[in-house]
Amino acid sequence: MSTDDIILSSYKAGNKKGALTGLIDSHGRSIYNIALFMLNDETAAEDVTHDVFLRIYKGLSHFKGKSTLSTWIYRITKNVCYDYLKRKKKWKNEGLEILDNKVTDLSNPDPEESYQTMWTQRTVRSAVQKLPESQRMAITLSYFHSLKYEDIAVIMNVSLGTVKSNIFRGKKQLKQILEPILGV
Amino acid sequence: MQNDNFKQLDEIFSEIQYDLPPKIRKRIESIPLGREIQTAGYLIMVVISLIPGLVWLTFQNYSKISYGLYQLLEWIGTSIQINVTTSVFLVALNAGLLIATLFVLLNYYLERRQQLYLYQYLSN
Repeated sequence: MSTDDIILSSYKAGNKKGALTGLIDSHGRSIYNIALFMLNDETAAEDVTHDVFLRIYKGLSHFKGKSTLSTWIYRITKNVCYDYLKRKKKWKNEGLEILDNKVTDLSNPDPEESYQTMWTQRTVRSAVQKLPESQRMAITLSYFHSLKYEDIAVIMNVSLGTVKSNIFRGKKQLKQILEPILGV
Repeated sequence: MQNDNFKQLDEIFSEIQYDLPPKIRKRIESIPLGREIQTAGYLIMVVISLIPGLVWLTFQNYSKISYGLYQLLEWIGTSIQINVTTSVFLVALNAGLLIATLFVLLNYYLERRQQLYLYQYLSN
């Protein structure tokens, strides 16, 4: 029995609070990371994560189990991210680059190492922003919840071949961007 | 497609995963699941919607109050399972209706007073 199955049966048995905690534990981090890499904005990622969970709670009672719980959750994440990006485009780009010291581990006693980590994080995130939306989504889904390509295809509503090509092209482009900077 | 060419890239990504910020976790955990709480939330929302009107009328201390209001709206929004944008919109709508009602009442009051003055003037 998978974690998702346990969460679902717990929800159906009436233990809503337990199911909620289970969902946050197993998917919260991935949802937040996907949102953060899709939007490159810490505050927006927090709001998107919140909205995703609101939709999950509202929809969980109607969840029929036609797809896996993970697929359903990440499809919601994808939709909320795309909605946000659409709204953002309307407001015209006011620069996505932000200083996000908060997400960096500042508890590290070595300031040089801490700065290096922050610099790497920002460089990778900026590089991801240069990818087209579909490649960005496919790559974040595969990296942050280790989803199978088949599941990503269902979430993104595209063919398996498209997912493979999106991930391959995205990684290739990322490598080209990051090679001279990080030496990958 | 899991090419060895991307091994280093994969390693970098595995190292830069962020933790869910505790404040967001707390915000999500505080989403209530009962319908009664949602109804109570809506009722509170109606009451709260009077506040922007009052703030608008007083103007002073607006910046101080608005931050508190935003936090309040976030809490209300969470309690009735809507996002902050929607709760701001609902409050703005309610505030708009409230202000419109105030204008109608003010207009009615002024008209009555004008009629009274006119009556007094004519009777003198």
